[in-house]
Amino acid sequence: MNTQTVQAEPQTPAAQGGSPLRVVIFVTLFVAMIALCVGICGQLYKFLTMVAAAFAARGGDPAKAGEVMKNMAWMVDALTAATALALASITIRRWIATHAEQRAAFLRTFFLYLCLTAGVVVVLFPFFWMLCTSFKPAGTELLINTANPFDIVPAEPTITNFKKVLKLDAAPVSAEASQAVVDPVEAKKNFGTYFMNSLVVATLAAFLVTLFASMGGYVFAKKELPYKQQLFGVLMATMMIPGMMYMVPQFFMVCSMGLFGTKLAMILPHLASVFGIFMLKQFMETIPSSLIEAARIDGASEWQIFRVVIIPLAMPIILTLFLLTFLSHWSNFLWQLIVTDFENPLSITLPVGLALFRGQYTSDLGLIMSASCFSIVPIVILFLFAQRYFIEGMTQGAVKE
Amino acid sequence: MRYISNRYLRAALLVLCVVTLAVLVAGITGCNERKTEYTPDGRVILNFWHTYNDTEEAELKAIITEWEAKNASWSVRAVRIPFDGHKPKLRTALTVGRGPDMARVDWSFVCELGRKHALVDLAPFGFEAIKDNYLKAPLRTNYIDGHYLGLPDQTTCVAMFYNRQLFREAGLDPDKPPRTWDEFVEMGKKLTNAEKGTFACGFENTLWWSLPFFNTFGATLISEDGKKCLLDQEPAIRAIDFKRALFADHKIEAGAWRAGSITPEQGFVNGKYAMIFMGPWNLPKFTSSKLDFGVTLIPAGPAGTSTNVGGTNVVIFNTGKFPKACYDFLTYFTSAEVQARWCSKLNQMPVNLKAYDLVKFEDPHLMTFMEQMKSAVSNPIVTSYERLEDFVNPEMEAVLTGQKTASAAMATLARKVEKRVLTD
Repeated sequence: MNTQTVQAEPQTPAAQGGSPLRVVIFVTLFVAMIALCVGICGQLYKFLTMVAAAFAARGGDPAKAGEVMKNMAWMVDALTAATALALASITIRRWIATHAEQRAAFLRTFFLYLCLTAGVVVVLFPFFWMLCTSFKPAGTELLINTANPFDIVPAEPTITNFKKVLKLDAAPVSAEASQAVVDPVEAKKNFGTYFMNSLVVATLAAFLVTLFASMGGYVFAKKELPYKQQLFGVLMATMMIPGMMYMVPQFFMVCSMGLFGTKLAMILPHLASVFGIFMLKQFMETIPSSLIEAARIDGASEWQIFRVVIIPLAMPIILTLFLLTFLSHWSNFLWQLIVTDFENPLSITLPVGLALFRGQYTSDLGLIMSASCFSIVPIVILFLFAQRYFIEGMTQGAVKE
Repeated sequence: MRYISNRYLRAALLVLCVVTLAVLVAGITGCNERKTEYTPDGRVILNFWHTYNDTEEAELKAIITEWEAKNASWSVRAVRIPFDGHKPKLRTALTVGRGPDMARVDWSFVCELGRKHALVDLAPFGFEAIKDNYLKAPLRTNYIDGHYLGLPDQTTCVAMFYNRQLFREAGLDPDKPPRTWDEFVEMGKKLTNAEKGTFACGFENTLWWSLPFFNTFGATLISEDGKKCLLDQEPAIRAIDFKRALFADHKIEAGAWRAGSITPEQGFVNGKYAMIFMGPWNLPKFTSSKLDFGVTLIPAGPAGTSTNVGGTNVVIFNTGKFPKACYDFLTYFTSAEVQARWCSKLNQMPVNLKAYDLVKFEDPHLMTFMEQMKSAVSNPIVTSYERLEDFVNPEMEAVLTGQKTASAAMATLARKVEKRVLTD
């Protein structure tokens, strides 16, 4: 915690003559912290043992996994208690070591951290629920622990859902089926194929949209061309038209070009991103024109100016656009559904593949959740690597100096 | 800065734009229609888009193989599309002439497709002679403006699930669930313990889920000619007012229809709601949750017991060149023998009445559904069922929350529906 501490001769609160009100507040916050810690760590450690038990139980038998979990329950309790004790000891030592005058600041920071932790729990809870549900056996997805509704880790976990999603459950449907020659298309028609298709489509689309939007944004921000303002106005006006209006004409064009069922069909109609051009133009207008002129005086060509001067300076916003485009294509269901040729199931992408788990009245929650666990991985990785640029890009456009 | 000010350059750019546009226009006006496809052994391929799951798809393929063995000129290509999104997929595909020869669609979609002249009338193929083989209520969803434009391939309905354990705890006999709405209210009061958070029942409040109420009260929602909304008639008003009373007066309904509430399914699995309406699709799920439950008929109202109709129909598109072959396949697919095998394997209710005696289920609850299905009344047939729901659902909620009386809400609703839904 960011509080100043007194290094010499730590004193007890009583010796320091701390305000009783502050002590009461500290005790209240302390109790809340311990409760939060026990709740979070209890669930986290239980989840980890659950994962270990689910993989340890061969054949995905939930009852066996449940037994393993029961045997490991003492570890969960011990680890939770140890974590809570460690946290309590650190907090009390900090409190004692904090000078009476600094106690108010200490309590403010303490309260802030508690609120942030609670916020993190609220934000991450759906993801945790997704993870836990993916380990639940079929039919038990909606069961709640009535004694403690927040205890969402399944008592009898299984990895069957993951096996089914990845088609690793090679149990033959019937005797005839087991003797039949394995259809190569059927063998590849699984989540892994959908995942790779989506990865290619989203990455390629994000790269191309970013490239074209950078070029467009640069021209609209820094170059002169006839009817520039009017052209930009027309482009902006197209943002007012709902995307659904374009769907049939775009599909008609894609089919006429012979692209139906191809990855290019999923990407091509969305390459000209008006939003991207607008975003980059706004940012590039803030780049001093004198930099471009200086480069030109030094003999740089147009392409060199764009590549060496503009692109590095606009990198935060370019990465932001890349992320946003990647996300929109990664989760784009309707357009990908329309242009997918289902006669070739190997062209199916992730959002469309996930929809195959939903029927007219039923949703296979376990399968959907386990597939979702995989589907969020690229987005998490992208955010982890690019979050610095992403936050910078989101905020930089707001200030113009 | 360099300026593109040269007149010739501008003219060249303009010409380039025009040429590009012309090439694109020429390209896109090219023929989009599907050509007839053949298998290597010379059979004509019929494209059938379906929305079955893995198990059903495997069974479908076996049936196709059988049919192809008897019909040497034809081959059926079964193409699986997700149920979620099958409507936009078909709409766009049909618009550009890339639709299939036949498809399995939601029951509510047939009317829209029919009124957009996308479907083939089955009468010329002799459907009149076999139509009585099909269950009336699901078949009725294919009867659009005096023509049969499809046939049911899979049907469901809802019945009443009840928690036997909660019945025992309330001192009730779990083998004697309520048979009438009066008994339902009487038992419901014993089953409700608001302090413990358990309620006699939890219901959805959308139109489709409320149809059992309307049907047991003998209400007709849309007139036979499809031009008048009858929601403002006495039976409909009594039905919705009864539903309101369960929640507001008797306080035995949990308000499961409210945003953020425990859904009926979740409440039932967790022992919070003793009785819910549910379809047979959740039987495996409830069984594997180790719940002690039973299934019984929807309690009888003034018009006796009744229920709604769910499921799907199969239709033939008029863009296909071989509607008779499609018809032959689909009637084979829904014939009594094939249905009996399909339903016995997949634990589904047959759509063919002749298959009723041939089907044997291990799960006794399915027999209750089969019995319930006999009393089903056809759902309202309108061009856009979703739009009908959009109008009806908020008004029903206004009644349940006490913002409007049933008669006032239904009177307003009937006029709105006539003006905005029945004119499509």
